Amino acid sequence: MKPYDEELELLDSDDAEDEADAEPSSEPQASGHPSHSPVSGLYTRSNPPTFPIPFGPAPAGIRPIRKEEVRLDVDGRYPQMTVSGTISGFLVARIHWIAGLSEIGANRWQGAIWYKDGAVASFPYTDVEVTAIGSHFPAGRKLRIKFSGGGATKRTVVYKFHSKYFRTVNLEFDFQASEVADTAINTCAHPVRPASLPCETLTIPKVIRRAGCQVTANAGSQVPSPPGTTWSDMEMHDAMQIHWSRFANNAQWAMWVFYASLHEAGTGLGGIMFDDIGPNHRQGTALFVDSFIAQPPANDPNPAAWIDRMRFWTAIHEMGHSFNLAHSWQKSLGTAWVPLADELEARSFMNYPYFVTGGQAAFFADFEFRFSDQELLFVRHAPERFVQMGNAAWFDHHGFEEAAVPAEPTLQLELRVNREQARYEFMEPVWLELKLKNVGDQPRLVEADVLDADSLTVILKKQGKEARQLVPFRQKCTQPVTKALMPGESLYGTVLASAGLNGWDVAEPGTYTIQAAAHIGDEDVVSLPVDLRIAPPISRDEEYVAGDLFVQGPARALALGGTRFLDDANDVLQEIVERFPERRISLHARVALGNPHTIDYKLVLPTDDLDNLEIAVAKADPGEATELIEPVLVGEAETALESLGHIRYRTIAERTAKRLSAAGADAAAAKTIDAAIDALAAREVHGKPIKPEVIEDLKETRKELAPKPKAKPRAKAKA
Amino acid sequence: MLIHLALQDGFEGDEVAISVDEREAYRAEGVTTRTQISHAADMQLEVPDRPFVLGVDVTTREVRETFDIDPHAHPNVSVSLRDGRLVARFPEQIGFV
Repeated sequence: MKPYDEELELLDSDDAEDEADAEPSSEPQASGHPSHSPVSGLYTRSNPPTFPIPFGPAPAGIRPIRKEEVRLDVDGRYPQMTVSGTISGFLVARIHWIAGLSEIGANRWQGAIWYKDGAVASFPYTDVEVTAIGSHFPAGRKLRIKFSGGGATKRTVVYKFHSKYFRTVNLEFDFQASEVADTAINTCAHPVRPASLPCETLTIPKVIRRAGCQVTANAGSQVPSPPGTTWSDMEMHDAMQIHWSRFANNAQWAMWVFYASLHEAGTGLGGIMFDDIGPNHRQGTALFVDSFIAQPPANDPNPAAWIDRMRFWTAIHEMGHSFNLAHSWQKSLGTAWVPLADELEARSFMNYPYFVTGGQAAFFADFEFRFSDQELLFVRHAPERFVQMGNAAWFDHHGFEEAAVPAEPTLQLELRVNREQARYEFMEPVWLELKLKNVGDQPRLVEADVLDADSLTVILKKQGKEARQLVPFRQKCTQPVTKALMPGESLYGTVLASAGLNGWDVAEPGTYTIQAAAHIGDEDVVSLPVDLRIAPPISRDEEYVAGDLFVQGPARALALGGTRFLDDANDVLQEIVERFPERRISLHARVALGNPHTIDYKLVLPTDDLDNLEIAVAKADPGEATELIEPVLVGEAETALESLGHIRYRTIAERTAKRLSAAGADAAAAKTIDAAIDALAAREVHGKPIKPEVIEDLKETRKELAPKPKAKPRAKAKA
Repeated sequence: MLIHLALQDGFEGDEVAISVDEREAYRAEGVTTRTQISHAADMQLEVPDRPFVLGVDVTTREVRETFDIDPHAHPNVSVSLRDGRLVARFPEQIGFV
């Protein structure tokens, strides 16, 4: 797909003038220096580095920021003296803001934020100060915005110039057999026009570009139809699905414009945005070239030019509806995005020429082939979901509809529970496993920690409630290490879905849908959603102790592999081990309680005089560790394998065995690793066994730990 | 003579009765606006060749209004329901886009 002028060659030299309007000046520009070069357009900032020092703090709750866009609208055609921005977190948190601007110096503006949408609680700022930084080259052009007010720490962000347009939209003009999709007009062909109107060949794409949208286009094609065909809305919708090369059942910046002879309703309907059928509205429009718009008034001085102009006006009027623009007199009706006033006399594409005072002659005498300011403000600056064709209520049922998924992905992310049925006991922590596979035929570079919880986006949604994003306990800050993932190779990871900094999001009995996305550069690799069910408690005792479990301390202990510091958390876990030994939560509690005893555990404690801190080391206690963990990894190996998950079970068993061996508990170490080998070798889920290389790796570990295996205990199956 | 009357914005499943000099000339149920063309219904009405009283009664909402119309000056009449009131406009032409 190419820009319109390259694709169809419909644009003339005046479009080059449009292009030149926004070209950077040949003179170097710097902040604070006068500039006559337009600076309006789209600026972006994406994939910020791990250390966001140059960018200032991110708004709370939008962590990590995936992308920021800013639209500066202070010069060029029809400037709205507005700056707007969109801050996207990893797919679930999105903030949209708009500020009016006043010039305070060369390339400097300031103003108040008057509109916020989305996760506004995370964005307290009330004012912006904007500085445009010019450059010879578009890539060097920048925008610096200082956010202030609202009681928040000031935030300064630098954005790079991306485009002189605020949006990009794809157009396709198809036409009924025997009709022509005429998308251009000579603005001076008709004598009734503003005296100041420049004479030019104006095209539909040029009008859309002047509204702030880059235009790409597909070659138009003919829609076969016998002579005399009239069209119903449903027939046009069907035709759109068949003939529009971009048709898709999702929101996209694209629209189909159909030039037809007549609607079945007759000559009184000049055009219609017919696409209010199905879930994705506003993608299809039509104009009826033989309707009343081809009937000039009696004694018109140039009937042919009148018809051309009405058809041109009608086409863009319908396209305006696709941008979600209402008629000029409807602005105050329905649910407007902001309170709007009707514009009964507006000389806009969205007003009926024959409805204004003085009729169509009065309209066209002042019509400059443009949208009104409030319409331009909407198209350029309103939240995307309001404007974009086909967009609908967002997020709740479309958690990842904003994901940047390539057309032909070469990476595949699988989220799985690794059990026959996705059912969990009450209080049982939900550990999910992830598999990222290179399904392409070329190696892919990925960061080694791409499947770590804090690198992923994990969406948790309980049936009937709003979706939430998992905020994991561990937020690491490390130098990225890149790994080559060869074709067919996979990377594995685990994530605790039950709890995070947000609290226990997957804990109450009920049905949950969980979906994950891994982020590789600009690409989002999104898993299929996994549905799972949390069973209700089986006793009042469980309900009672759950109140103590479903808090931060025990969650941290379970997520991070135990603690010797959070005594309250350990007390809760110990109580669970003692009171609910048959429940799966006790397996997790035992691991969390026992794991810190497998190593010399460092504690940072205050000195006796409380003036300083010192590091105390609690020596490893293999006996205590064995007493706690062995019943899980050995005694309940099969159940533990299912509840902990394959990857965690193997990791914990191997780690525990190595640590026990290092602490001199060779027998316990061997017993643990042997149990793991047996359990994994016997394990099948949906008829699929564990990969043989996993067993072989464990056997290698076994050899390293204890060259001569002792009698193997058999893993006991839990009823 | 004929005038062109359009019911435009604000109707949703309404019963609408139109009268000319208190004589019912049109009645329809389920009158609903398609907002993208500002059209709920339109009709050619036979009216006297002199000023007359056009009555519009949205019975489902108990909203009624009368308009004095000179058919020679205003051969096109559009009526919309806005903020609970019926509002008339007299465009040069009736046509929907």
